[in-house]
Amino acid sequence: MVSPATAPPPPPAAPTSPITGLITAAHLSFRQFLQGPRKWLLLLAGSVFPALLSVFVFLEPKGMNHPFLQLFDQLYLQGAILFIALLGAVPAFSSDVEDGTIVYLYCRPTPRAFIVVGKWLGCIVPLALITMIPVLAAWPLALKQVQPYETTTWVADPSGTAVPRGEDGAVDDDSGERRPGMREGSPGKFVTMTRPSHRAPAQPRELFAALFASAAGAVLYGTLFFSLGAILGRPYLIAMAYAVIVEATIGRLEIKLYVLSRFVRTAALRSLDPVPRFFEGSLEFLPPAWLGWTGIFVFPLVFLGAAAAFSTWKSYIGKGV
Amino acid sequence: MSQFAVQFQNVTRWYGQVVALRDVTLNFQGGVVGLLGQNGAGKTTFLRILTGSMRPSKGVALVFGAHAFGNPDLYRRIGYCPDHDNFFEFMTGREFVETLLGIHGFAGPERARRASAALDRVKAAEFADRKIYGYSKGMRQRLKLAQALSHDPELLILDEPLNGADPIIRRDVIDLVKALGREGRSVIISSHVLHEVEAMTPHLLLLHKGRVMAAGEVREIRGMIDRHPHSVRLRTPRGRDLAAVLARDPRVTELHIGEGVVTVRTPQPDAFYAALPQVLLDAGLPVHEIESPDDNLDAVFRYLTEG
Repeated sequence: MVSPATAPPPPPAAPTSPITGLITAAHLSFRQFLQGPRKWLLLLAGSVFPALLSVFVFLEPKGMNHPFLQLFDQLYLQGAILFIALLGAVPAFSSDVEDGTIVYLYCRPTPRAFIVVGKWLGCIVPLALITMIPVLAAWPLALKQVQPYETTTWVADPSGTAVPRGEDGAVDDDSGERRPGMREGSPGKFVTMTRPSHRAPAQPRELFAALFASAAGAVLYGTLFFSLGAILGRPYLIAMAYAVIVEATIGRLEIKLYVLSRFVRTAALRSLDPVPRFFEGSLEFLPPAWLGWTGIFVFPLVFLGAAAAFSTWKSYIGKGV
Repeated sequence: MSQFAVQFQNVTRWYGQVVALRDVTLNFQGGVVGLLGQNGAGKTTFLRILTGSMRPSKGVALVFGAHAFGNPDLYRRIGYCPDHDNFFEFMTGREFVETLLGIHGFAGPERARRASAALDRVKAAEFADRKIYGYSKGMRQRLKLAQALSHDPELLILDEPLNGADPIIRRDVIDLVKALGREGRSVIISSHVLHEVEAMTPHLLLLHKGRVMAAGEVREIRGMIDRHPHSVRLRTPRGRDLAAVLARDPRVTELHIGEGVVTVRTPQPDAFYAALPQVLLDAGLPVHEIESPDDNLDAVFRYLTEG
């Protein structure tokens, strides 16, 4: 037994609030988010979307098949936001574990789960805001797509006679021209109908949907990567980056991540009425709206809960053990 | 309520195949205690279990009668100064201490007041408003101490606080630890340098390869050491002349001459040290440096494990 002489013990420590601890952890995380090269990488990743959109608008001022929505969905929502979330969220907690600074936080009376949630809040809020900046920057470019891209389709006139077989489709009764794309035996003769293939995304509702989808995507992906970083640690950032870049490029991981993005797309798209025509085809493959909304809220909670539980249960094994 | 500040019952901690602490059982009533051990002895693991950062693989670790791991209420009463020098470098020292007080749960003016008081106490106030990335090693040591003290803990756990410290900081830390002990706080301070700890407290706990090798007062451990021959190394440009003088000293049992260095071994180190200045003066020999390799902890453990 080690028993040196002792003086009377000092008075008990003052009471403290774990909520203050959580808020301070969030503030700390936010300040860390704004430090170092991370913010420049994030801005670079985010600038790809408006840059590419401006190229498309410049090359095809009348609009291709709706560059804004196409790029937003395929390049930004399923691509750039993924990288932004990866860069922004993984180090938010794992860098403290890696550097050893987490020990300053863990030896405090604020429960570890509160610290994890605080750190998450401090990185996920700016992350969501940052992902909205490129959308806002691209919106003026999208407004330039005011002239609808028109397509001419051939439809059968029900009052006409049956369409005879042609070599390359059906044959017009009147002109005798072959009309590709029409089925043999359709009733009536052909008439033409011109309609816009898309609607320019000029409505504020569509802007809000795009902003919402960006923020929701950032929260969903960001929470996934934050939690993975908290559980696995920062060295795995490289492995994860490899997985996302290489595997997603060749299309394996993309399928898994696409599941997450579907929740965001579902909730965002189904909140629009009418849905932009570009996405009309997607709707039949997307789950119902309630599932989209549920996914957006449930998945982050599950990821964050796993990170909080893990950090509470796990011993901190830092440097110099 | 437990009468002990710290109770370890058969505490074992391993990392995979490596055992860092083996079946440690001890009770620590309070006051200032030095935790001594070589690198890899298990000191940091011991301290991390105390702070609740790490759970024992086996056994029970109690601090103030409560389980240390997963017990946030307990951490109100503990201050921890880790051994590493990593901080939130983009902050000023004051922001760092205030942030940790915030994590602790203090808000507003109370946070600022406590931070200022802690920084003043460790003499860090003058550089507290500069960014940490520009801090010297000594400033960082002071800052670590400030954050550990800022919430007025009953038990302070200081992991190698004198590592790399210059003489002024060393003196300040030693004075601070003594003052904390006088205030009735319990302090556990780890080091691998015996004389550093000796300057702060006579109460020691020696860890070696994860086991408690000895616990008690310095004089008991010194006694164990002094029963063995003690080495003294003298650096001089006239090695042969010095060796000739020392060879005539009856307290010297062995003598080696190297390049500008004479090493002697003596079973009576206290008597030898007392007589040495006069011997050198009488012989008129210049000696630039006197050191005892045996003062370091390697030698202590060598004596204890071999003895």
